Amino acid sequence: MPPADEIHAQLVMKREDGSSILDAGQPSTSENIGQAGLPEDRIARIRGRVEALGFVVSAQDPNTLSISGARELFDNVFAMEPGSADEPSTGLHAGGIPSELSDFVADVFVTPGPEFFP
Amino acid sequence: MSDQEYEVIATVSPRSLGPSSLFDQDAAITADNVAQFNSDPSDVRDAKRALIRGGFHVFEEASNDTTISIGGTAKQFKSFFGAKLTRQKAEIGPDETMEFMGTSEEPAAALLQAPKEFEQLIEGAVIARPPTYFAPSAIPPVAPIHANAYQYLTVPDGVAVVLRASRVHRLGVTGKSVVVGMLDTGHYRHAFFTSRGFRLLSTLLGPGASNPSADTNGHGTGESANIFACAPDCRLRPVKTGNDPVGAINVALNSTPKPQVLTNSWGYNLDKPGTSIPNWLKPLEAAVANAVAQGVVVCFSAGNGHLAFPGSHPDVISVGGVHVNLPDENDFEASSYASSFNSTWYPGRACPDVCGLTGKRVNIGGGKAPSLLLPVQQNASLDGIDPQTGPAADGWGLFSGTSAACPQIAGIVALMLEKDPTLTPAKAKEKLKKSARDVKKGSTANGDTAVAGPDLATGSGLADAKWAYLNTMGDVATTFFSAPKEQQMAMVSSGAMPEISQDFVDDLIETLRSR
Repeated sequence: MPPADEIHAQLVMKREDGSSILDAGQPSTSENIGQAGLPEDRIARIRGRVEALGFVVSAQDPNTLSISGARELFDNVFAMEPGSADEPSTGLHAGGIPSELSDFVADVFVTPGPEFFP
Repeated sequence: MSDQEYEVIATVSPRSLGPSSLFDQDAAITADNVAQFNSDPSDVRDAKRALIRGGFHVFEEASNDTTISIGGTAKQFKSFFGAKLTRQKAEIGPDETMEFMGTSEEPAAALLQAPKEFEQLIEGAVIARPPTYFAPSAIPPVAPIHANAYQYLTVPDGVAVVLRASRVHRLGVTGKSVVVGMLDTGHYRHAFFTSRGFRLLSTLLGPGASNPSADTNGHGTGESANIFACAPDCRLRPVKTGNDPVGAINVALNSTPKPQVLTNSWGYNLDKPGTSIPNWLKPLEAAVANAVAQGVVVCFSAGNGHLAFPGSHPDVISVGGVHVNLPDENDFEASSYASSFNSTWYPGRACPDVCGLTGKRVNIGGGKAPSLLLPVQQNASLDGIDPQTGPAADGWGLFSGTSAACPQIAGIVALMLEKDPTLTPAKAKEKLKKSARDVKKGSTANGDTAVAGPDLATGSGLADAKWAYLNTMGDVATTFFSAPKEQQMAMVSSGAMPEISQDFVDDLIETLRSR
C-alpha cells in the first residue's frame, strides 16, 4: 500500500559529461533525441543509486526516470521547493541535489497533471 | 376491444393428457415430457367455449395444445375464477416500470381455480406478469437535448461516415492488428465496446494512477469510441495517466504489444507568446521525441482554444477541429471551439496539421461543444455534462472537443498502417495532410478563419480516411513494382498488395468525384 502522501516525479539524468536535456540549446525532436540519451549502463547505475535511497522507479526512458516515494523522502533527499515564478505552472522541483547524486541528477520535477480537452 | 385494452391477461391450462396437472409438476417441463401436459383437442375446444361464455377473449394465435391465453377485466376474473386482483407495478427495465393487475405471488393465491362445473376441464390459470427486458445498453441513447444544442453524431457510424472511414472498411481494411495506445483518464468497459466485440487490451497504469477498471471522469472511455469508429478492428491499449505523463508515455512504449500509434487528448496551455518551454516540460518534450524516433505515430489534440503543448511539438500530428453542419455531411466549417495557433516555442510550427470532427461553441453548459454522443461510465463526471442526455446517470455524454478529433485521426492512421506497416510518423502526417478535405469557412476559438487552401484555422482541413488510405496504397504499389520478385510475392501473399479489382477502380473514381 503506497503511503498517503506519496508523490510521483520526473528525475532528469545527467550524461557522463554532466549535461542533460535541460541544457539542450534546441528543442528535443525525433531528429536529435537519439544523440541525447544516456547509455544503458549509466541509466542502470543511476537507477540503482536512486532506488538505494528508497525511491521506487516505475518507468524510464533514455533521459529521465519516473520515481515515487513519500513526500518526506523527497524533501529529505532533494529539498523540494516550488518552481520559479518565471516557469509557469510548475509544481515542485529539487531545491538541491545531494553530493552523492550531483554527478548523475540534473533536477527532479513534480509536475501538475495535464488538462484534458473534452 | 383491442388486445392492448384487456385489463388482465392469463394463461389457462385445460386438463392434461398425463397423470399430473401442468401446475402440479415438481420436475422441470422439457421437450421430453411436455407432451403429457398437452390436452385432448376436444377438451381444448370445450375449455375455450367455457371461457368465452365467461366473457373472456381467447387469443387463438397465442394458444397451443398445452395452454390457452385469455384476456378480460378484473371483474370477469373475480367472477369466473374468484381471483383477488390488485394493481401492481413491475420493473421492466432500468428506471422503467409497468402497471398491471395481478394476484399475490403466494402459490395458493397465484394459481386460479376454475369454478366447480369446469374443474374437470380446466386445471387452473395463472395471471401474466410483465417480464424484465434486458436491454443491450443501460438506457437507449435517445436524449432530450437542450434547446440551444444542435444535431449530433453518434459513434461509431456517424463519425465513420463523415470521415469516410466506412468506405475503407468496405474494402476490408479495418485497422486489423494495429495497436493504438491511448493515454487518458482510464477505460471503463462500457457495453458500447463489449457488445461490438471491440478489442481492448488491459489498461496499464501510469505512475500515480490507480484502479485500472474505473474511469470516474469518463474522458478516456468516451473519446476511445472515436478510435473504433475509424478502425473497428484495431487493438486499444489504454494507459491511465496520473500526474506524470512522461512516465505514462514510457509505460506505453515499453508495453507488449508495443503501440504503433499513440493518441493524446490532453496537454498544457502554456505555448504562449513571450515564453519558452520550461525546464519541467523538457522531459515531456524528450519523451514525445523519443516515441516518434522509435517509429510510433504520435497524435496530440491542439486544444479547445488552448495553446497546447505537446500539441505544438514538431514531431506530433497536431489535431484541430472541424464542425459538420448536419444534415449536410459535406458542409464543413472550422470549429469555433477548437484551437489554431502559431507556436512560440517552436518557430515556424503552425497548429493544427489536420482536423477531425468536433462540435462548435454554443451558449450552453459553459460553452461546450455537444456534437458527439459518447459512452462513459455511469455517474462519471462527463456523464452529467450539459446538455444532458436524458437521465443524469445514463452512461452517455455529449462532448466533442479536439479530444474527440485526435483519436479519430489515430484511427485513420491505424487504417493506413494496416496496409503499410512501414509508414513512418513523418510519412503518415504528410499523407494525412495531403489527403485532407479543404475547409473554406468558419473561425476557430482563437479567431483564425478558414479559407481555400491550407490555413492556420484547420491546417490542411478535415481528414479523409478514404483518400488517405488510397494515398497509402499508392506508395504500396510503388514499392511493389520496384521490389524484387520475392518481396512482391510476400506482399501479395500477406495481402499488402491486393489484386486491383474493377470494384476498386470504380470506387477510386467515385471517391475522386465526391471530393
